[in-house]
Amino acid sequence: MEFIQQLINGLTIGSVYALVAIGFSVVYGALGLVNFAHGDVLMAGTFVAFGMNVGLGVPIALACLIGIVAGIVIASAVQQIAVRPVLTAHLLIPMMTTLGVGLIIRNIVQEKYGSGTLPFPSFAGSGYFVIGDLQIARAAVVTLVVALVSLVLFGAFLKFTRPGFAIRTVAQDMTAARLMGIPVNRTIMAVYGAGGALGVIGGLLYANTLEVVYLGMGFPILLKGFAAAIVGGIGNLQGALIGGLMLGILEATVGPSAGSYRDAIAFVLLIAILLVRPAGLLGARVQERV
Amino acid sequence: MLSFIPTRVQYAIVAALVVVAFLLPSLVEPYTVRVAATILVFTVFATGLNIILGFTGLLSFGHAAMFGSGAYIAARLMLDTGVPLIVVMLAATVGSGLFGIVVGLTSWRVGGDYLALITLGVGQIFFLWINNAKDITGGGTGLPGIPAGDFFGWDLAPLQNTYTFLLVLTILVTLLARILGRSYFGRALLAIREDEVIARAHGINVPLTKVISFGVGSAIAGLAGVMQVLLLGFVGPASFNIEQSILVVEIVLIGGMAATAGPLLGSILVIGSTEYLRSLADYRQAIFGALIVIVLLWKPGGLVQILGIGDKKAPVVSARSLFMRRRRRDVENEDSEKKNEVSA
Repeated sequence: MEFIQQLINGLTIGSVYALVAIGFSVVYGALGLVNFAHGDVLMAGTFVAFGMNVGLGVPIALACLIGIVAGIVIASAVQQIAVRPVLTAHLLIPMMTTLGVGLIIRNIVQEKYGSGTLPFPSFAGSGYFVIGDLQIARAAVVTLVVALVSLVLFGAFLKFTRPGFAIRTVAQDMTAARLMGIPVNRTIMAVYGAGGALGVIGGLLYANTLEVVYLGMGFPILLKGFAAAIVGGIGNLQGALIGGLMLGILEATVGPSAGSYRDAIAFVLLIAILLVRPAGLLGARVQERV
Repeated sequence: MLSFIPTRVQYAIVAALVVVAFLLPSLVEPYTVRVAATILVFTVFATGLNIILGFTGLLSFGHAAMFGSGAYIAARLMLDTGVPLIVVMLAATVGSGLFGIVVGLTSWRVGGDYLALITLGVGQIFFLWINNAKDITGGGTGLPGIPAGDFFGWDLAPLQNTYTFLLVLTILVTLLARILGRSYFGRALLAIREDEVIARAHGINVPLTKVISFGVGSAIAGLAGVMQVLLLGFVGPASFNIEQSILVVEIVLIGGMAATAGPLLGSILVIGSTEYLRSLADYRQAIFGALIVIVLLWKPGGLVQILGIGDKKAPVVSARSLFMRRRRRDVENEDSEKKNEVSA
């Protein structure tokens, strides 16, 4: 029973990692670029929701929606400022420009809310569901349901809508997509917007589970999402989902015995998997051609 | 910008600047000397990363771990034993170099973004270790009160002497990096950065060369760790966290990749602005972020390219070709393509 309890806790935090990892992976899959501002975008979006609810008294559900929209806007702005001009440069350059924009975002949030830890009004309510010996927090159930619904919606968006179709074509071959009349620049913006939205949902669920928001929350979540995305095979969305859940379960089950080295689990897993399967669990085998 | 100046005059100016650097302690107040010494430490640190990142093109986001291992080896030796400083420096350099080689071995299997993640992970695990292994590293409080030591009878306790010693080390390391960059080894590194397959076809042992470049770059970072210990007389985890790893990547990028003067120029701008913009401390991160974005959007070759003082031979030319290179996904964007052509 103890084990199942931890498994559920692991699935809960893992689904948050998975959301962040997929938001990260969709950008990488479409453009081959690492978005280091992802953590700051999700932090800023969560803070917008927090500010709307606590500062302006907007109902929490609406505030979260505004936060997600803010995440889309900020992510699109990051794309416009830091990615578009250097799209053809070496992959390190967009990595560092997004990092720079991330610093600016973090500074703006810091000016507004300071760098302390603030209580986040939980939208799931407290209390537990009791099934036999198992105690499942309401927050955990809400997290799992919201994560699942978001992932299914995002999958449907990619598969059935026109912008989703455009994203898939751009991911396959940007030149061909442009020749077929697909608005590539707008699609790239949609990719970043979608990534930002998924990130903010992940950030809100994280804040909801821990019932706090703080300035530094972005980077650790980003690192774990990054690790999850790579473990699963970067750019591969199912892989990111599996990677995120795996990481969450490992942290919940192995974490307590690892003590203060708990945060190292993500990286040990990452290094181990990459050395055995360099392309990640579900990554395509890269064949170098001459 | 400055490329119209004949090469000989440039060398003369560099020589004059070196003389000024040696006279600095008697010209300005101690605070400025301390800042200058910090800049020197970061110049050496960034020179190490420049070999890995600038020359070989391997992304290392955990370089603070190499810096830290050098610093902790030095601190332990200086606290527990009375071995001469030269032995401490050798031990720290070799120790960090071996650590770097072990990390570099992973580059046999993975490259690109994945290697960036592995090194990030190594940096994070190292940071957790120095925070938790209290017997060895002193944990969160670090190891204070490290004796200043002396170099063959030359007392390094006064700041002035420490500064001069660090300056000599920095000049030696910079010269070494310049010679290395122009040697067969340096050209092999650049070839690997440009195209591994072609490098292999030209008889370069690609995996071995990559690992050696990791080792050399880490050894130099380890030496920078010793320099930091000499300067501060203290080691603590705060100097070796992930922000520090990213800071040094920023220094290399802002200064200019694969250029001799890059690490120094980057350190002057980054460390100098950190120290002298204290009145703007609230906005420092934003200014910093804007600086990175502006420099990299405007001139991806960094300050060396902006000032136009790079080596006129192979390294900078190929640095540009690096930025012109198409990524494997064949990204096309006409606007930025035109911009790249103009800047080239």
